[in-house]
Amino acid sequence: MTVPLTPAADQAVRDYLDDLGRMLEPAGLVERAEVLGQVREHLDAALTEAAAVPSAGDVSAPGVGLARNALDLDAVGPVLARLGPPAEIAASTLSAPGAWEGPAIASPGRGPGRGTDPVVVAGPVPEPSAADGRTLAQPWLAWVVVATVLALLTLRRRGRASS
Amino acid sequence: MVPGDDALLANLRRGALEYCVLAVLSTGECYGLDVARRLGADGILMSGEGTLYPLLSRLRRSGYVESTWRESPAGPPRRYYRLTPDGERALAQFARLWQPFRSAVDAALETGGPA
Repeated sequence: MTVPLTPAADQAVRDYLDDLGRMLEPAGLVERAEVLGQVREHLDAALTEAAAVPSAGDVSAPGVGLARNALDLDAVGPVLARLGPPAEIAASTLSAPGAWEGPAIASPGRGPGRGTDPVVVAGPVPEPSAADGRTLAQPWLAWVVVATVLALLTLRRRGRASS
Repeated sequence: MVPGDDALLANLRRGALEYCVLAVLSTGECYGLDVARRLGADGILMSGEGTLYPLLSRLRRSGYVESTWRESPAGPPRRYYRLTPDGERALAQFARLWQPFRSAVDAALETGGPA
């Protein structure tokens, strides 16, 4: 943190981030790092704001200006509370695959009536996971079956034409 | 058993909160804390400010939001988020559907179904 904290407040922030990091372990490395980084930035910004509010402990020294005390648990606690429990953030992160499929958006110039793809979807592609390993396998298998049937039909027609 | 308010709200947020984030960003680029404060003020749309970040990550990966780092007048550099053209289209689509959806729910609650 870029804001000075008392040892107890610093420990509370460390514990929060450690807990979140541990709970995010099942997420991918990139996603875990991204969410942790964002939460760290949030804390930095929120604690900077909290430090900007003069408190009773701040003292004004002649010629030095306002000397700020390190933020203590009373100041850091509400910031962590507003952020919510680490488990809640982790649950929201880990529920990602398939939880939000994103809106179906017709790409510009490819809508119905233009004789193009009937289904054009721009949205997050569900990632394969242990819970749903069929996500990628099903479309792939479908294409193999279609290609095989078409190849067999073509061969059959050629066979008839040549005989 | 009737679920508690928290469980019911969690269900209602699903599918809508992402678009509220896009709506906030449609007013101009914001950094995370700013979005969290605007959406989390009443505790209805977000139970905790931290749940915003998995959402922002997802929106970024989906191509609806992009981020850039900026120096901050106070404190460390901040990551600012803004809507992409795909994000604008997604928000417009949601806004178009939301009104009839809300009207249908209101009608069902008030009179037992659409008129």
